[in-house]
Amino acid sequence: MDQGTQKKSRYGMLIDLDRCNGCGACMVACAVEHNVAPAEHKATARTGVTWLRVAPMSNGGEFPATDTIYVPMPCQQCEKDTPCVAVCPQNAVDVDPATGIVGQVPQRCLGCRYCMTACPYHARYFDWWDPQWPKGMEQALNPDVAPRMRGVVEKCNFCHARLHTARTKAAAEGRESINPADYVPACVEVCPSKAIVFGDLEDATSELAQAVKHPHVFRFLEKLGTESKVYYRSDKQWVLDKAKSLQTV
Amino acid sequence: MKLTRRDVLRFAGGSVLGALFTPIPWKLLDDSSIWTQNWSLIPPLPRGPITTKFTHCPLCSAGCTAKARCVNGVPVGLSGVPNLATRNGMLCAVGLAAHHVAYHPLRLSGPQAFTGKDDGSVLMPVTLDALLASLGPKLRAVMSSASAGAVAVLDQRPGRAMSRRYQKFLSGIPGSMYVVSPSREDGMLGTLRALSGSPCGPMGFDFENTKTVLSVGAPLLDGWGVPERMQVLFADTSASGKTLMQIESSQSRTARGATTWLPVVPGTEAALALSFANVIFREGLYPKEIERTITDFPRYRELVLRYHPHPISALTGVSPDTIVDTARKIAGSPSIVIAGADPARGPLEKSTEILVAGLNLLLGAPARSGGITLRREMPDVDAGAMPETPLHRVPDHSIGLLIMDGAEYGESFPTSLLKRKMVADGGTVVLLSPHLSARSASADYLIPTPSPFESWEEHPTPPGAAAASFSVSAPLLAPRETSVDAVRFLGLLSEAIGTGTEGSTSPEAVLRQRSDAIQSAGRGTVYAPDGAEGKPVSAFSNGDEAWQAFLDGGCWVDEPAAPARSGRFSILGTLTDDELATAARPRQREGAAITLTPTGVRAAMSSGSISPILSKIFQESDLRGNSGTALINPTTASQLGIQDGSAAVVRSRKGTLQVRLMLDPAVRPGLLQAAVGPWPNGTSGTETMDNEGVLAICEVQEDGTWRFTDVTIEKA
Ligand code: SF4
Ligand code: SF4
Ligand code: SF4
Repeated sequence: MDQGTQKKSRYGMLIDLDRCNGCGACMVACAVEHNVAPAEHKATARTGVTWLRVAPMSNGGEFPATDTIYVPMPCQQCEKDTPCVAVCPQNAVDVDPATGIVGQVPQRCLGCRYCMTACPYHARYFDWWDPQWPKGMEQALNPDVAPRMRGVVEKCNFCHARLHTARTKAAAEGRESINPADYVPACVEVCPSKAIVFGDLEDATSELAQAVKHPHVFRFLEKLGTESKVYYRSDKQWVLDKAKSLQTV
Repeated sequence: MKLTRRDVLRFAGGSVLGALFTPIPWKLLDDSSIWTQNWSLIPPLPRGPITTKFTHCPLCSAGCTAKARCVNGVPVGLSGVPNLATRNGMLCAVGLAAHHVAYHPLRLSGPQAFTGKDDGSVLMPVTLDALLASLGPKLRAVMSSASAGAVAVLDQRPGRAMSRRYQKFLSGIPGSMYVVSPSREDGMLGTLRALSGSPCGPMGFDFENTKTVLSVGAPLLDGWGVPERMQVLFADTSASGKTLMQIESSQSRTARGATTWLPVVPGTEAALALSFANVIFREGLYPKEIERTITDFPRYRELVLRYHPHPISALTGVSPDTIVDTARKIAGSPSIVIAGADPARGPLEKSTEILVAGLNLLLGAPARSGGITLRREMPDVDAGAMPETPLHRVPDHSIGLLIMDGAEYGESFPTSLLKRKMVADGGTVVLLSPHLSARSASADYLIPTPSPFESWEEHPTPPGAAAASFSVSAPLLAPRETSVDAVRFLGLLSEAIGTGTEGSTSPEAVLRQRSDAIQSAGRGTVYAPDGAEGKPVSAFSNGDEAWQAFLDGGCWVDEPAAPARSGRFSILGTLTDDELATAARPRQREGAAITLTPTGVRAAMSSGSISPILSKIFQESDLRGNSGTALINPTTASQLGIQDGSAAVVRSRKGTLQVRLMLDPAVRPGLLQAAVGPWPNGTSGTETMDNEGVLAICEVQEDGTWRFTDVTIEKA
């Protein structure tokens, strides 16, 4: 067994809210990467499936003293007492001890949606409809990710298929560990503003591990103690204040 | 032991209860849920050899370089090619799913024609031969009668080798017109060329070397030009050392990301431009030589000296200090002032555009580093380019037969504008497009062109680029049998009217000719898409080598034009005193009417032109509004008694529109920003054609612009 590629990591990301301009490229790249089907006719913002959702957040100021930021919200990869893991009756949700990635096994999922209720970040999505692509578009699906069926919950898994590819490559090249450049999630790769830094929090020398030390870095709903691995940064005071005061995301 | 009925019942009850504590019921539940979840077909994944190919995004004029990941040669994913010297490319949200567009349910299955002009007429499939047999005589009739109007081509992608073919076709028809979209992002450069006293070639913006950009409504950080170029230069101005100042009524994404946002009262941009000029004049901040090069300098000075910042502040809502500061900033460093066309809102009013463009002349920006550059003409085989007329500047009721290349391409405009330009009986409209859209309803004939990636595509100089460029994309998908490419259509049409046999060439041959012309000109550099060093064109020993470089995804970038002394310009152009007086007056609002203004995202103007997966941002989240949604300030909404998310009816003199209203404090009070774009899951052809959305209720002004319309709003 290649011990190297099994080395313990804690993958995480830092999203710079001052750089994000709400272009939505990350949302589209994520949906294409994971074969998420286009919206069903009746789907809305409540019932749609977006593993990564970018939500506008306003400072609430009166015009023209107004300011808006865009908050990309993937699964926050909660590390401690992971709420969605704790409630799943089917063991369909787990935290990979080797990577810290919170995984979802759709084949086991019963569709009870306890995890959706438990997730404080609203980062989980239920497939209300059969996934349907326009005729012929199946040939444009990503061959690396299986589509999910109706009636299950799905969510961001830090582009797990890309991690597998990076591991396979490392193993084939006889390397002990993956090359970080080979494991870049789709949203990180496409962001034109370079708003997202991805990496291994366990590796103290990584750009991410360094960047999260900045005093303007925070996590949403920190008081819940979920020890999420998705960090945010903003140099705007109103954003820091608002993040601190949020009761729910 | 006596077994009573009670014992049996207790045993049965106990068994049921006990079974609940075994895995059996859960397993049953699980299996049945999995069975029901799987009853319908989950699509099989594509299997086969995986390859990558360099290509370019065909969805808008930026033509961003892309890498396609293919299975069995069919693209399954696109990614940008960062750090490319040319179209430094990260793909936008729309471009990332460009490989899906070919599968859109709104694609045309074959040539179609309306049965008549009246309301009851319907769209019927026809053969291409029958279509040409019907169209040919109509074209001949328009060509032979002056009263039947002109023959025109509306080219939504000017600058291509195909554009030259259209121009060649038109050049044989007396009185014909070559028309371009009214919302070209660099339309202001056309205005500047028109202000020039002597013929001058194409122009571009030297953003790389400029220090300050003052933008009047141009969405520079929201898909403008080559998006990544703008992002790198202006999104993080602390890193680039540049300053971006955005003049806009509401806080758009660009206004939010700019160094400074000047929230201006809608329609007072011309007065603001004159007030900047006032400061520049009074403080003597302009280069003195322009007194000689601007032919109407005294008239301009006399005009602007009436626009002192104090009274103009009250008109525009911008403080006198900000007006003075802004004027000093643009005068104090190499700067560019952009009058911006918006993909949905269209161009600025004619007089505003001239007055804003004029600031560049006042600052001596033309032909100066960090200002407006002169580009060299693209080497070409077909000489004899025709002048480009933006649709809104075409005389009303002057077109008898119109060939529209593309339903929309990046940007849109109201169908009523198109109708106004056609002769009184509506004339004849031929639309070449792969998909149905609201525009289809205004056409008489629909020609199904290949979808993106199904045909040879060319990517000429993007709007606003400082130097000419060119690249090609070979097809990645097989075209449908019923598709008719523009080269073939034009050839067949020429044959039908007996003016030539241009049908013998293919799109590939047309592009090869341009590649050969570039190679023969021997100037510029071809950059490989993998970021390797560029190869000078002069190093290609023959046309085949140059063509191969293009097939490998290379991009040719021209040499900069030789520095030229700025020529003579008229700064006020043909503007009359009356036009100047009205230009600097705020819009008259009728009673308590709300001002409607359309808004949209470039390249996402209709459902069929983008991937259905864009529902993620247009339907399944609140990131971007789809057609049928509108943003309004919370204060205005509460005055109207309207809640967030409620349905409302918007009424203008042109008609009514049902919308879902969303509150947004970034929208100026009194404004209603209604989205132009895809309909939620817009897959039905009839619905799509019947519904132009907000553009249907926008009023087109005398000068052909449609930025603002007075409306009333009622709860639905
Ligand atoms: S964000 Fe939600 S889905 Fe993700 S790990 Fe935390 S609780 Fe689970
Ligand atoms: S791609 Fe980047 S800039 Fe665009 S919405 Fe996502 S995080 Fe923000
Ligand atoms: S749609 Fe335009 S801006 Fe977006 S990726 Fe394609 S070419 Fe680039």
